[in-house]
Amino acid sequence: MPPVFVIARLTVQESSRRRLLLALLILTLVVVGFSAWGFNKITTMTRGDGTPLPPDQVSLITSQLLIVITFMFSGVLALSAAVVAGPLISGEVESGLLLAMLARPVRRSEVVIGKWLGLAALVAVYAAGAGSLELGAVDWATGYLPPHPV
Amino acid sequence: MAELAEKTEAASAKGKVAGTPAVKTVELTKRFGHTVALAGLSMTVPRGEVFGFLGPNGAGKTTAVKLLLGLLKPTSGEGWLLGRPVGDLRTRSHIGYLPELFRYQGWLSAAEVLALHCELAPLPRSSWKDEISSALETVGLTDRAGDKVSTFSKGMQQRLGLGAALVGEPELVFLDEPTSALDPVGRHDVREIIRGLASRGTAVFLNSHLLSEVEQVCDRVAVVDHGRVIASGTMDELLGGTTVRVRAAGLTQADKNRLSSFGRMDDEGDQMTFASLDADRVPELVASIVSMGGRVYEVAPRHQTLEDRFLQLLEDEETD
Repeated sequence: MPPVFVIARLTVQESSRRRLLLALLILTLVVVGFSAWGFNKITTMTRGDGTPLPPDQVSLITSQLLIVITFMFSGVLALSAAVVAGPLISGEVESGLLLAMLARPVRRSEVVIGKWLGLAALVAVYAAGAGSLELGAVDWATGYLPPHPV
Repeated sequence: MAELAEKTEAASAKGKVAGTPAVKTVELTKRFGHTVALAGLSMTVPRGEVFGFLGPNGAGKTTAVKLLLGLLKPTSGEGWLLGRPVGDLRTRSHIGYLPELFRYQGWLSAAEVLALHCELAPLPRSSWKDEISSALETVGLTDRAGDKVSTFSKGMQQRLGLGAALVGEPELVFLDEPTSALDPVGRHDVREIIRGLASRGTAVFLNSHLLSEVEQVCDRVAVVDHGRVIASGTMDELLGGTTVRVRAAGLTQADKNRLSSFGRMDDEGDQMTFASLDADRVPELVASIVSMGGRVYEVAPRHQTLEDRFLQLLEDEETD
């Protein structure tokens, strides 16, 4: 395997071994669960005269709220990816972790690109997974699915 | 200095293995801002020899190793490893390196760290299993192969680092203070490993300030101070002299000063150590002390140790 992919694989392996992914999964489930509960509330809301909201209105409210939620997801994701990735390489340089590896036939650019690839793969998989989970949860709670989610 | 010229000659004349030297540098210099870490390092390490690179703290030893491995870029000067310019990627697959500041992926097992180094070396996948088990065997970690590195003590991590430096039968191994975290047993093991490497023709570049250790394993040494080589040569060339320890009472300071014709002297009251004195001159020394009214209790000539020589060299360097 070319060194770039070895580094990328190592990055993915690190996050899974260090239980970063597990923590992320649990937190995501909590957030999705909460939002599903909230969306479910919309369907049981009543108007002033005691009648439930008509389905069109539920869909409208849900669709607007869902846009806000997905926006929040992407914002948090971008921010946390930057926070996680920023100190990654400098930390490894400082601790000496990279010294032994850089003495192998590995270019520095390969280390940087490999790290980026690994993190990009992680973020992409997470975004796809968390996104579909959220859409599924909203669909279950309100029966609303965006017409063209992707 | 005279030693410098001597060393260059010795290196070219005694390169017993045909072909290019393992390490060659010409005026390698590294400055960090205004700090000169390495001021024109010129040296040659023949293939298949154990080379000790000595110097006090901050002399530029680690900087030199990092420059040679391409981890730092030299400010000026040139270097070659195994006949190729420093920084050449292909050369690095024939080189092993144990950093001074060693740390390995804590979330991997010992065997996985070694596999990573096999993969980056790169070695054919079919050979990994043998390489890993022989490296673990060599550094004595076989029974911890499957354990996470984060559960290892500092000394065990250093052993692992040594193992990682050994995968793939490198032609040249850089060991930067390889015993800094090891107990006496570990130090002994490392000496055995270094001798083993030398016997199969691997050149070892040993960075150390543990002189007794260097003395035991090295064929050739270079002493650096303030970023330049102040002496180098084979162990025999460097440790030619005799050190004489004299225990005598009844000498005044003026008397002692007059003994300076016998070379550099460490004065510790009744104990005086003449760092480099020809054995033939011992009777003359004793006669002088007696003629000054000193009473001699003990005269003990011995072979100069690397420590004697090292201190002498650094002191000469200061006075120059």
